[in-house]
Amino acid sequence: MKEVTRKIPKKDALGLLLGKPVYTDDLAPKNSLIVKILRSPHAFAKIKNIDTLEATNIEGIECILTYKDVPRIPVTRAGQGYPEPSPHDWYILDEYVRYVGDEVAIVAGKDEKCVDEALKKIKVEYEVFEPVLDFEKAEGHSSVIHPEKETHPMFEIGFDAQKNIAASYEMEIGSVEEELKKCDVVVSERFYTQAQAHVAFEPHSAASYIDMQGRLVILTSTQVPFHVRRIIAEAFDIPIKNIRVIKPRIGGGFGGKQAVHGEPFVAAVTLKTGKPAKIVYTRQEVFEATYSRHPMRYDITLGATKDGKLKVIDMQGLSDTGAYGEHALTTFMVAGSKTLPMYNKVDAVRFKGKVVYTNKVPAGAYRGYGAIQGNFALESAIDLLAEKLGMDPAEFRRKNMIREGETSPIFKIMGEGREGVDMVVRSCKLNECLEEGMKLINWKEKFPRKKISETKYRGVGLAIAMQGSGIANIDMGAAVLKLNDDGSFNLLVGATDLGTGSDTILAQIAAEVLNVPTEDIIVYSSDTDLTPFDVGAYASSTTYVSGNAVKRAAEKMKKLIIKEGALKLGLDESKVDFDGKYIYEINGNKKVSLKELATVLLYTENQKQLISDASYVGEESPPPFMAGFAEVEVDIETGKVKLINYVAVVDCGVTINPNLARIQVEGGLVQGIGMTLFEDVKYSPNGKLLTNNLMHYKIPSRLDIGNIIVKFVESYEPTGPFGAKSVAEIGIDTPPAAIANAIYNAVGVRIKTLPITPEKILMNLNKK
Amino acid sequence: MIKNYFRPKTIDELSELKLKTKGYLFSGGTDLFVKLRAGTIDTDTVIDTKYLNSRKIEITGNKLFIPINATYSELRMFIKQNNVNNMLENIVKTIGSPMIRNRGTPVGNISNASPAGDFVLASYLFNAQVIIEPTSRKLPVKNFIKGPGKIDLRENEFVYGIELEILNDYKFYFEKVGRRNAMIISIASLGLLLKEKDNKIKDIRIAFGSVAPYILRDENLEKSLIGETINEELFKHIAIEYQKLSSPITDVRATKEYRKSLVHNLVIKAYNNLFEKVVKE
Repeated sequence: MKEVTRKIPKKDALGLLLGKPVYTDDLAPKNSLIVKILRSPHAFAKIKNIDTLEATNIEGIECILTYKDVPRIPVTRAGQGYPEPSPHDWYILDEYVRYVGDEVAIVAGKDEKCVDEALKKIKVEYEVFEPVLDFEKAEGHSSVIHPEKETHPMFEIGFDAQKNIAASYEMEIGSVEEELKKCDVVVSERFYTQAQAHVAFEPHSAASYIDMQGRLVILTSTQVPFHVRRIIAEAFDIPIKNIRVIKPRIGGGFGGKQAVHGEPFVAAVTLKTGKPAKIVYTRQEVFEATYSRHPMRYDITLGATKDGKLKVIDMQGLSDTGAYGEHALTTFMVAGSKTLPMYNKVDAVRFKGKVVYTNKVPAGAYRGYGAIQGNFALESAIDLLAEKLGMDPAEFRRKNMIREGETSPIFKIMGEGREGVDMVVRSCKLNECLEEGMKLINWKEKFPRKKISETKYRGVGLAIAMQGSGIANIDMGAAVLKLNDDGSFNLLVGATDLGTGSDTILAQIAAEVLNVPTEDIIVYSSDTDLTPFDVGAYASSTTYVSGNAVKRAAEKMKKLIIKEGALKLGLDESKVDFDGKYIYEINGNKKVSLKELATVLLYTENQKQLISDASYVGEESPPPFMAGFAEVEVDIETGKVKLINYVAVVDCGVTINPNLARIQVEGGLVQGIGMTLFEDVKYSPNGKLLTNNLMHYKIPSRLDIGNIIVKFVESYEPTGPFGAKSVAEIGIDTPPAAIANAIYNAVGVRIKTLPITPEKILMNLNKK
Repeated sequence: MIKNYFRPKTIDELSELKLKTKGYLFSGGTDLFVKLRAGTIDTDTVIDTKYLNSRKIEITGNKLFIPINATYSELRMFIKQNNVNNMLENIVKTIGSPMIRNRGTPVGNISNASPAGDFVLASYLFNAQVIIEPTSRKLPVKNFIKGPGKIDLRENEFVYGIELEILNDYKFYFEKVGRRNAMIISIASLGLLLKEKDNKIKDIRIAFGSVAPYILRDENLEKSLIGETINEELFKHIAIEYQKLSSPITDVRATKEYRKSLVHNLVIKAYNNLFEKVVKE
């Protein structure tokens, strides 16, 4: 392969490095009204009265909108497949405010100064209710967070607003209770994960204006331009045809932008005033009023026989979706569907639980999407079980984990919000990942611990993980290729490059098919007027789903070139081929260059625009797999953990661009390490997020992540474009369990609540 | 919002401006602008001290003088070049990030009087004298700092510089426990200076950050240790005594219980490290 597997830099790298104006805030119309939001100081209240008169009279204020001024149509902000598995429980503005930071009023003015002043002058009287802040007490709480009758799910998701339940789910294969009786060893433990923040460097931003035809144009930092178009149409009750959504370059999303956030507010202002408007969230707003990861609790029961055969997995969970039910059911189910198939030889497996509303920052999509929460619980418990069996945890996994060519009943039963699809795992090099990782970390030498001094111990720990490649039978991506007169191609994709490098790897896929240099493929993503549909960048879908669409479109283009080339050469199609430069006679001397053909096609002979398109929806979702190994040093006098090495061995099929695949894994690992060791989330007793800035919310710095070693094993996924699977999320899943296991192996302290702070370790050491 | 900006060149000019405008002094701005943005300081006037004709970092007799506007990075350079009070390097290098150290100043840190201030801790350990102008007052840092954020300074006065003792032949241990390894505010920190003779304590100075409303240092306790034989028993005694003296709080970074444990353990840790009970990496 010439173009696929080339380690070329991202197509946008130089422009970004040079600071070109490419982000939403750079591109917003210069005369945009500044939009800011008055946010609720209460965790749960009803607006009794809102007086905007004095604020409206401030010089420069263009409009102040309250719930009385905007349509009240229940929607979900979550950008997912349609019909949506998230309940329709959100309103552009509402008379209820359901968390500290919830929107009360939209203020637009000519500059920040007058808008800031107006925000202070709006007088709101609230009827304050007792908030629900403890997710373990949410179900059946006397405060009902969504008492309104309009809120509803689009289909059965186990929704029960009167009990503060956004979604619920239950499945069982075999009989957990019966099989547990046959087990020699059983472990049962409870685990908690926290509401991690995404901390994308570009804050959420959106701008809007009315074009010359009276259509609403929205420029936004989003992962899901087509979903934004649909949700805005629904929320404002305007036709989809009257909306255009443009995605410029994006400074990171990680799931936090898989939703509408600022878009409805600028749209409301533009629709009201006819003027351009923009909003750029402050860092505090990003923390307090966008999304976090769903905090979850899992009770895990595992049962095995003496010989080390895992027989039973029981996972019972509770998830906290905050004030709105975005991604509630789907993140919860992924905690099972992207962990349980790893141990596919069990006799009984159960997964059940509820997702509850609380008066806290809404939870939404975040890289890992439930899998990391489930993985922490399951992979911690697997180590506990192996220890009880007296087995090396690597050996225990090797004996029980899924292998290439095998399947799991989970694939069929658990999808995302509905049934999944039956599939055989055609590529699975988990065993190779495990073997290679053990070598790289020097497991045999280092497991379980080394004493460094009287006060310092080193330990190693591991976890295995799987993710998916898009959502089978739901996620669709499409691509269009267009031939230019110099023989270059425009590749138009709805797929959304967030900084991931997807534009680059999609170009590499097209270039490989057409046998042209990647540099001859000009990529444009994404604009709902100009690019074909794509669900967007989420669920590890772009490489696999959008990549397959690009590959098909390129194959069609190749056929078109051969067809038109044959015509030009006066030969039958079967007699010619295309090598990237020339369309040539297979057994002869006739040939025409692509450039010449492209030029004549546009200007002189048999004139036409060569254009090809293709769509792809996966019939299956081949999982990438990995094994993660942590080596930590624990200081027993302070509880501090030093992460010395993290080894990640990944099977994501063929890496389209090995460098970009590597940084995807590295980035995922660092976020996983952050969730494991640093990123603590604290609320005040009345429900205000205290860790709402980068001073109090600590993401890891370069000094905190030690030595990261990423390796890809050789693997080929037959259904993927050139053998590729997706790689965006898999990197994040293993650090919580691998590091927790390593700490346990080092000092015998088992932390079951993330993050694992020095404080938790020391306090547990003190108890010993 | 800032409406007035001044650049005084002389001590008297600065003093008059401060008295007249009640403006905030601005050197690096690493703390001031964070507070302005957060709304914890509300002023329309800043007085930029960087144009003041002042002395440079210098050694005078057995004192190290650090003037207003001298940055952490400049101090580090000076220490290295002049081979003086090298122990300070261990503290200064943990402060903020390279960008912060290029702008932030020791004098600013002392004037903020935060119990978590890393340079405040250093100044306690080195018996700093705070030099105040235009009154030419000079007082020990422990008297200058009156509580969290509270300092002994009149409206016309400003801190012109600080003088640290120059210490030789001391063993030194510093550790700052934070939520991560860089750009942190300490959960607890310990600085310990020790001079020994024949395995007995000749002089000892112990200071803790973030475990009381002020930097915790007890000179009477230190005096009582002089002449004692250095061993683990003695350090256990010190650890327990300081644990009693500490009065930490629970905040967003850690609980008071954890901080109490750290006070004890950091003393033991200092002993283990200074007397090579720990294998060095």
